[in-house]
Amino acid sequence: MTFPDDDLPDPRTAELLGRVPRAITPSRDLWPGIEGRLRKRRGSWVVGRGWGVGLAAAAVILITFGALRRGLRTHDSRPTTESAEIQVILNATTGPRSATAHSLAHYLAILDGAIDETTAALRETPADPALTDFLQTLQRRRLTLLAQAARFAAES
Amino acid sequence: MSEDVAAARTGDELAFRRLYDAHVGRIYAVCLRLEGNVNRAEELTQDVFVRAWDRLATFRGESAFSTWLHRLAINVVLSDRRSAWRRNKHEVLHESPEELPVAAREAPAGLAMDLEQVIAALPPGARTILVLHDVEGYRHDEIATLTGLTVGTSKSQLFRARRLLREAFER
Repeated sequence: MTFPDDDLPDPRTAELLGRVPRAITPSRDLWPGIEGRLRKRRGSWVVGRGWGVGLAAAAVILITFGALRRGLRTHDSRPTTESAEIQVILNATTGPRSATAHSLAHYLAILDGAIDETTAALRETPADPALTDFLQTLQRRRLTLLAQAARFAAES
Repeated sequence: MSEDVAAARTGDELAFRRLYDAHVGRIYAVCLRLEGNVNRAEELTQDVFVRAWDRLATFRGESAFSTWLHRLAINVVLSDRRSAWRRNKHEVLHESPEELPVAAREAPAGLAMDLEQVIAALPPGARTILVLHDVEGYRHDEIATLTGLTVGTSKSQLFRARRLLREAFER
């Protein structure tokens, strides 16, 4: 224990404080609580890491998709138009379910736009296998969405 | 850097357990004196070792591990107190203690009095400065950095804490 000269306690206080032990043993073993928390943190780190990997993968997919769409737009900037299917869905649905119909129509419009852009890009580079695969994927998704929309319209 | 510290930094839990065994008494003592409550001091001691485990990678061996751990303990306790202050919206470090609580004032006078009990009964602000300065040996400028108080406030609190301590033993 060191005291600066101008901060010295009086001798009586210094004597009292000099008897304060530097270490005190806790009344119970604290290690089990610490060990449990370390294990829990390790577990959450692993789970967190798993989520992190999943989110990173999702981000990569989204960024790739976005970049591809932006890239395709540079080749073909035609505005997208509502397809006949979209009109059918919107016309067939009224009332509270029309919000769902609009949502379906919105995603269908996005897919249509992507298909138009990919088709235009393929016209410029017909031999690009990545674009061909992407167009096929988009068309499969469109068919799936149309099937859902048809079921939805039938139920309305 | 000791072998146990180096091993613990690589994730060796047994080595960290040995570090715990070697330092828990010192860390618990500072937590207990700063906090003044056994249960809370035990919880804070556990917090200190969990944070030490988390931050071992930042320990570069420039100071002794015990010094690093000790400073971490003080930061954990003071940070906890600041959080409590924000929750409760009342002064903790800036209060102006004039007297010890009744229980401490009525304790038997003289050397038989439990010194730890008297320290624990000091108001938190005064107790913090007394423990950091007179027990742990920190300078006022270091205390100011640790607590966020001014050097003047630290000196003033130390003066009050010593007066309360003397009065408790003179009664």
